[in-house]
Amino acid sequence: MERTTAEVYFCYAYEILKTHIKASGRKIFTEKEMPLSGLSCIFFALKEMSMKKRGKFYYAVLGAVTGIANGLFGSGGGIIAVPMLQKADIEVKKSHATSLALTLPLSVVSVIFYAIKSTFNFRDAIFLIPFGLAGAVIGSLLLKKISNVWLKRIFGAFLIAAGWRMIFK
Amino acid sequence: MIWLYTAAFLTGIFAAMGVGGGMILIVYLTVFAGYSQLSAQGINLIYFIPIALLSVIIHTKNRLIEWKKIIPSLIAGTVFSVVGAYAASYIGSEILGKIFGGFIFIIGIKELFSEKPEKEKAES
Repeated sequence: MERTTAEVYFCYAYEILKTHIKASGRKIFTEKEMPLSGLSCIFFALKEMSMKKRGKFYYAVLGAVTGIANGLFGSGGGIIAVPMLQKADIEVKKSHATSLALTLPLSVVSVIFYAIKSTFNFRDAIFLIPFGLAGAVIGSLLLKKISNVWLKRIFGAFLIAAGWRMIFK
Repeated sequence: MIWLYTAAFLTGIFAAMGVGGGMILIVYLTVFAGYSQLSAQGINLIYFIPIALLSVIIHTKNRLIEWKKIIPSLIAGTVFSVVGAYAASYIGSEILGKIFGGFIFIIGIKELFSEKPEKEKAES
């Protein structure tokens, strides 16, 4: 099974994490530590299968993974959906737009379950929305002028630092 | 308060530029503003909806959305969002925060190694 670049990074990152988790003595997973490497093998196998035909099954897998991220993390659906849509030969702009069209209803569904199952800070969220809208307007104007490559790299560095802190704090 | 609004504003910019902002907001809410992981994720979901709705309306007008193609995705996605949401509340904020950390760590590595798309390389 040929590994794509993304998969290589995924395994690499997981190995780094695993080494440090072991070294620090932290127990993140329970005694029955889920063999993540085993899970990721299943994930890659499924991916290979769905890639053969960019048909309905591929789109279903795309939706499923995006949905899990959306429900489990309340975010991250776009980061998964956009590359997968591009692999299905949808051009960049359309991939971004279509990913939003996908994550929007998924977020609505997730919100309903978050409201039922856990603490719900509706009011806190409401106040943030105007600022987000303003940012979105500025962002879409900026995107026409500048490439987002450096922004992605900065974003990546930020996530690495933040992720590290969140695991080990 | 102002930092919270700044975080929300920056998240909007990043998201609109196709760089995925929600994770920034969640990190800010949990690390700096003292919200639990589940609360932060819930807030991000609520925050996302009106912004995404506006974007989708505009994108639809510009015919940028492949609605037909994503029908299987929407169906599967709805089912698995529920699965994910249930899993989140089952796992609980404490451990979920660490798993989230692992997730963004991996995404971070992927984003850090971003390359300019072919088209832009050709133009420069």
